[in-house]
Amino acid sequence: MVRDDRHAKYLYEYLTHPDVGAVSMVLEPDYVDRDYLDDYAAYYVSCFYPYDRFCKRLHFFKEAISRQRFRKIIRGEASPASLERFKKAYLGFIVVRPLPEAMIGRTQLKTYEDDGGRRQYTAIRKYEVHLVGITLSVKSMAFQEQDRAVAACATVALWSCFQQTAYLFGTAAPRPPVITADATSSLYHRRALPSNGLRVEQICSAIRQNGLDPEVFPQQGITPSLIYGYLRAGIPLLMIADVESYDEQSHAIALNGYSMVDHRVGEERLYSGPDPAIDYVATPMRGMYIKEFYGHDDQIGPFSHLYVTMPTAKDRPFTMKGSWKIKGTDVDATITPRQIVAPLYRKIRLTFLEARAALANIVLFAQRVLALYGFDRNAWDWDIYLTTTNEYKEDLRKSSLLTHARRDHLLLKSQPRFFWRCILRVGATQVMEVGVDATEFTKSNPVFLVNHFDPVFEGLFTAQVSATPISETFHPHLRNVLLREHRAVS
Amino acid sequence: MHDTIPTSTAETRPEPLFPAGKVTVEQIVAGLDVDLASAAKNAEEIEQSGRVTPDDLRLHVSM
Repeated sequence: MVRDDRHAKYLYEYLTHPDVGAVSMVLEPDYVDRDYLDDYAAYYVSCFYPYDRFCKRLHFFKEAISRQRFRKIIRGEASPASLERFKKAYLGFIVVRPLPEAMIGRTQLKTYEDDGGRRQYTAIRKYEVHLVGITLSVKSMAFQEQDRAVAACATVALWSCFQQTAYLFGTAAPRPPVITADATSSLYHRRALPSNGLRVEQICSAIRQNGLDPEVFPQQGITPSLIYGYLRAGIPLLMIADVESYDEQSHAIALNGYSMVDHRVGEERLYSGPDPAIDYVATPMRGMYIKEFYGHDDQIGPFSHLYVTMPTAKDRPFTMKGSWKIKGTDVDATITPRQIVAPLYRKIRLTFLEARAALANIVLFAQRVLALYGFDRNAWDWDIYLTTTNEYKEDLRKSSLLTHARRDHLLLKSQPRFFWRCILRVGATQVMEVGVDATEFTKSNPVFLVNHFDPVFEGLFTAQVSATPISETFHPHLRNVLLREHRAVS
Repeated sequence: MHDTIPTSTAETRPEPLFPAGKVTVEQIVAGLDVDLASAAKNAEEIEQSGRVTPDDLRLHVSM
């Protein structure tokens, strides 16, 4: 049965990949899993069929561990060096549930290596794992397969996301039966269990019930940059997608990382604009460098690959290909993202799109300088991502791009807890940086921070700001910030 | 203005990205009004692209 299970096949390939390299396994035969126990209490205990309440847990190690050595370790007879090697060799675990159709329970496995910085698994956290009195650890995002009784794909994707938001924001990490109950507490015409899937508005309800705010973004031509903007901050995203040949339903995947390469894989678009004669190619942003996203797809496995195809028009949108096949064939199915749902801490109010819109005049002023110096859109891009003041100040402490006086000023000055950091680069060189307050709203003039890294660029940029009269589209607050903020201490 | 130079700039590109005097202030401010209008429209378009319809929210996710 295990040999034929597609999850088992995926997990076998994952664990034996050179970047993970599992060579030995320790089995806990009668394991009480807290997640399955809640599922059991919510549903299986009241079924006629006598479902077992015990699971099995499989722990994986990247070095050979004999029975003799394992016994020595658990008896405390191993040398400190041997115990340390044992801990370092730990790769995580898989809980095997006593459910023939949904065996894969809570799974926490090490990610692949970063391959020189290309692979970024950002929405992961450190988990402590206890095995016969020994504390082990693994950095991961928890995964499990849907069982269709207490959870469909949207519920388990939310469950994975909530593991990470609990770590980031101190909110709860509810188990699947609670998520399904929260999602269906209103707006539902039928029983919650067995779970029949969730509508997007129910997903939003579950997020809200967990003390977070949902933001839903329909697919658009700058979706790769939008996903990157949140993922870079470690915030997991729920991707609602259609899978080719599975026409009747949509699917949910918990996105948790990306692979960023050193060349552009395509261009992003604005699908429509006020003038139909203009081809609205989007301002270059970092999404153009993303070759693949990673996500927990409960129908495939943890950290599954989603290879990106950039949009070329509204009817040829941003799509992906991964491990899904067109029904009845061996041909890769196209996965078309419909919506991105972000579960956000309540103080993160300004969205990626609103931050990008707040930059419009700044992007224009910068673009005019770049164009006169012969830098076309292939030479520069904006790196826009959510950050916290702590992360920003950590970076600032290591940066040599600003004067000591300016750095001291920024380090000692209070800032919004969350803001959008927007960096203009020409090639690899930073030219300017703008901070957009994410705790604000669009009409509040959220730009609060400006740093210039090139004096000539700065002079030409500010000359345009000075020459631009105040108008409906150029607010005096923005003008003031662009003219004065970077000079507060320089 | 700077009391330190970015290491990457110093090592990989001795000549500045933006040589002084190549572009004048008069050049940079010419035609600014026209461009600003397009920036405003662009911002509006970006904001509109994120709007969710009731149909989006009713999408059933169950696979």
